[in-house]
Amino acid sequence: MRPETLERLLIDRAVGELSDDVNELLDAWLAGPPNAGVEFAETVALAQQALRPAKPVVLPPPTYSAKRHVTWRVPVWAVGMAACFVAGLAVARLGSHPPQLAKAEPPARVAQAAPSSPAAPHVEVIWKSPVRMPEIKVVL
Amino acid sequence: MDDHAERVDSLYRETGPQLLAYFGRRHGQPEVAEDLLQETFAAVLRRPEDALSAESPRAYLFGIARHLSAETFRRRRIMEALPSELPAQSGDADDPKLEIMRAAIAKLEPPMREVLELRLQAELSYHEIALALEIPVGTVRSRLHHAVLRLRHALQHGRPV
Repeated sequence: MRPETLERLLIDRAVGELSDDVNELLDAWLAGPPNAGVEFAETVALAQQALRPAKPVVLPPPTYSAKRHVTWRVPVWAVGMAACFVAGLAVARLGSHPPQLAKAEPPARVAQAAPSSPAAPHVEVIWKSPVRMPEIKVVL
Repeated sequence: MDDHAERVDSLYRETGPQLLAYFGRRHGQPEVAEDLLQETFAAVLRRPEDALSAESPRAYLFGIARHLSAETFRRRRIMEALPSELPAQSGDADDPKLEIMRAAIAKLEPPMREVLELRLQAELSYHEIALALEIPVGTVRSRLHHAVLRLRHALQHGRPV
């Protein structure tokens, strides 16, 4: 057996993670050097002692039932997604209704003055250019 | 539901002391440790069936505990760091080997130290540690081996490495 493998098995045994079968095999293998593994066992025992809480742990009475509904947090990503959704809705709404431009009345090329009476002459106002005065034509 | 509550209460009695010690070591202050213990079980009560049907309810609890602990460190805006010294117990002060051991454990990298603590203090199996930390069993074993080798080396040389 390679020394590293043996070392790993000895550590596993020291922390109590070796199955009975493997333990037995290891014992058989270690029949020669009787002190092998003792060092690891000591190290682990000492580490266990060092990790023991300074004061005995006293379990407080449970209060978790009361806390059960108190902590309700909205995850940050959910808030971000909601904000994006609202912004998207707003953009879509704006896009579907483009701003209405005021419709300019086409310049009246010909405006007919309604005859005030059937016998009255018919007057035609003719705009040839928006910058010039119109021509007024009287049709009898 | 009452059955769930009873089983969670029973888990609290069984695993509570180990979790409290775990939080105590990580955060130092007993009141923070107690608060985190209650938070852990409050989280369990939100979905008790998950914890109770878990492969190892203890490992599941330690998984939650670890996340809550990390979140607490983040909220306080400090680096997640384990205390650099382990508290001495009365009557141990005269044992130089124990002093060396404490110093050596305090100097271990957090992942190694976490595995060591979960195995030796919380008494979780390799498999349970793997479940709690969401890492392969081989990684648990390897971290623990390295930790024990470091500690042995420290004891042999009379100082932490």
